[in-house]
Amino acid sequence: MVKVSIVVTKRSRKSIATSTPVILLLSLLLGLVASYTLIWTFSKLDPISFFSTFYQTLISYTGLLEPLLFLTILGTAISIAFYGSFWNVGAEGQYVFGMLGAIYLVMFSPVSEVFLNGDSAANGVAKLLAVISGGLLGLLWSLIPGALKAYTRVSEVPVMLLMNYIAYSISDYLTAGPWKGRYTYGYIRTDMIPESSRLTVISGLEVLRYEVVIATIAVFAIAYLLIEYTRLGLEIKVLGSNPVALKSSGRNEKKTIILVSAISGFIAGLAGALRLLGYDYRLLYNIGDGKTGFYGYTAILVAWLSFKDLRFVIPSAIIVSALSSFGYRMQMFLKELLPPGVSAFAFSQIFIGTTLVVYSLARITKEYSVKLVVRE
Amino acid sequence: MIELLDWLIPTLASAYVVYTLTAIGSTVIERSGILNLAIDGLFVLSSSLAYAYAIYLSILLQPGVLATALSLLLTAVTTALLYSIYTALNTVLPVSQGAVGLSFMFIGYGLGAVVGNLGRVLFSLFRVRIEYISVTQNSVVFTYLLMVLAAVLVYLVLYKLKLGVLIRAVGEDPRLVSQIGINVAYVRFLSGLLGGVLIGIGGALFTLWRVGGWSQGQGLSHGWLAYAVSIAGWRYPPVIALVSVFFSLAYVLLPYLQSVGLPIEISIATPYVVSIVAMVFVSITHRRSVALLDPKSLGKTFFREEQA
Repeated sequence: MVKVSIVVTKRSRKSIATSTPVILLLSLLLGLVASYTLIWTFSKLDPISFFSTFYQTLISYTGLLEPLLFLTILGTAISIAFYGSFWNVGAEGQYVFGMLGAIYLVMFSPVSEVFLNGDSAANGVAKLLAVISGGLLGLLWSLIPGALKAYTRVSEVPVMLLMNYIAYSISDYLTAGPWKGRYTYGYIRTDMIPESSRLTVISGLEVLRYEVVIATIAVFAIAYLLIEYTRLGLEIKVLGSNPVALKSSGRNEKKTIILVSAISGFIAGLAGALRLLGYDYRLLYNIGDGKTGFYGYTAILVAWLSFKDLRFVIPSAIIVSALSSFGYRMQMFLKELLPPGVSAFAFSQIFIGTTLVVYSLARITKEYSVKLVVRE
Repeated sequence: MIELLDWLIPTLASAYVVYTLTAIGSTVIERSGILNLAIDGLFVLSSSLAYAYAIYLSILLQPGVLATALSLLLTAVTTALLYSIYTALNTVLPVSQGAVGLSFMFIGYGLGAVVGNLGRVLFSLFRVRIEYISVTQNSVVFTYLLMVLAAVLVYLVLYKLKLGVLIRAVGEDPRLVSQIGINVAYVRFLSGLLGGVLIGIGGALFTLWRVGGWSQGQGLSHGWLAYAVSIAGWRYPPVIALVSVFFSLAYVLLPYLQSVGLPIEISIATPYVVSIVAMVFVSITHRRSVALLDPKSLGKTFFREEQA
């Protein structure tokens, strides 16, 4: 009888074939093939339309720039958490809380008066405060699962996924209640934030905002320095790889968990604040119905693809931006070939899921070699 | 008051059955050491599958009990197969269970939308009416008895049968089980089948009984609510069957707190708050019996060096 078995052994040498860039590209390709097969099962979609539309998505770079910036910030936030084995799947909620923090400062706090006076220097400072207040609310929201993990050992993953729904509800409550706008033509939403509080559009590249570009670069650079060159960064890495060592070296494990959750939540909150001040200008009702673009969820994929190596956050963010825009582009141009009625985000979810599963499989080849052995 | 009870008792029964079965299914999977982060996606997928199967079978046969029962069965089988792939994949290869779980979650959401919409297209072409499940006041007691029976059965499987002992053993120490010559992947494959059947039925009943229809995004987050029930019940079927009563009551009643003055948006969030509080409460309680503790190898990558 022929016996087929899968043999997995530890790899002793590294090779180019299993380096991160190769694995990333391979996962993207195989992930696309797998997604295509899944969708093809339920439709008449031909491979040429599918792959040429993906190519179109890639070269229409202006459409990718906006998601790329937000996914880079959020991906950085989640990656830092992953270094410390804090599985931040709650960036979506922290992002919403960032929006709340920003709109509160701009419209409902004493600072709001600054924007009516028109002094541009004061405006600039107030905008900065609004972004920071968004970061702080994100931080507070992330601190809850962080503290729960540190002190009660409850797993942060289900807690944060449930907390994302609570964040949506709180935002909806504020939008329909205390913060409900007066000039909304009967819609449930807040008023627009004053013009003077909005971020600056880059002329010639209308999808971009100066402040968002600067913030993305700053966040990424600071995060990189923090992880690679500071003692806290080292502690976070040790927390992720060997928490026992952290404890026995006299460091406070709980404090590190809480710090990593705070930093991660702060950055995710910044992203929400930038989104509100630069693009949305107001809160909409039923925010959980896709009005966040689900960036907080898609950024989880960015963090996985660049697993514990911040240098790969940006290439991963490019891949994920392309995958998430791809769903919308397919919906726009290939509608009659697709299974009917399915939302663009559902396609994006399929791309994200298959790419992630292929990547998780491909990544094991970095450390292990997998062989099929046939024995008589 | 009587009117409220007329509404409450059947509604509660449907919620109770859905969350209990799904939570017990998740328990079987996690007792074998596989982290079940796929649950919400596969719950959404199975609730969509049930709708598509029910429409298709109602056209093929004719609307009625048989079509509904068969769609329930087919959903259970499909979900069981998906879960057995999930648990085996997580064992055969040294992958990150968290990443694979979340991938399955995303794929489940996406495919759920595709499958459910296919059902909807069939519906718009043929206009068949699905025979949804409804339970009368008189027979509602049986559904509770049935759940107790299910909990007892799964308890017996997990704690009295050899298969269950193996499932729990690979959840504690897969390396040791492997060393005595038992195929860990096969045991986990079986736990995926058993757990998947239960989660599949839970998801199917969500559509065919609790909601009585399908819309895109249906079932989202309910997998996580069931997951919270499983953890709050210490991943122990009899306790799950008990605490699930309180959870279902909370999930069914809390959204109606708006009638006593709580804003609707906040009352919608209360089931999530209850779930988190319960999980925290359970994790700080002191558990003496090993049967109530978390499986030791839950979520850990299993790697067995082949001996030359």
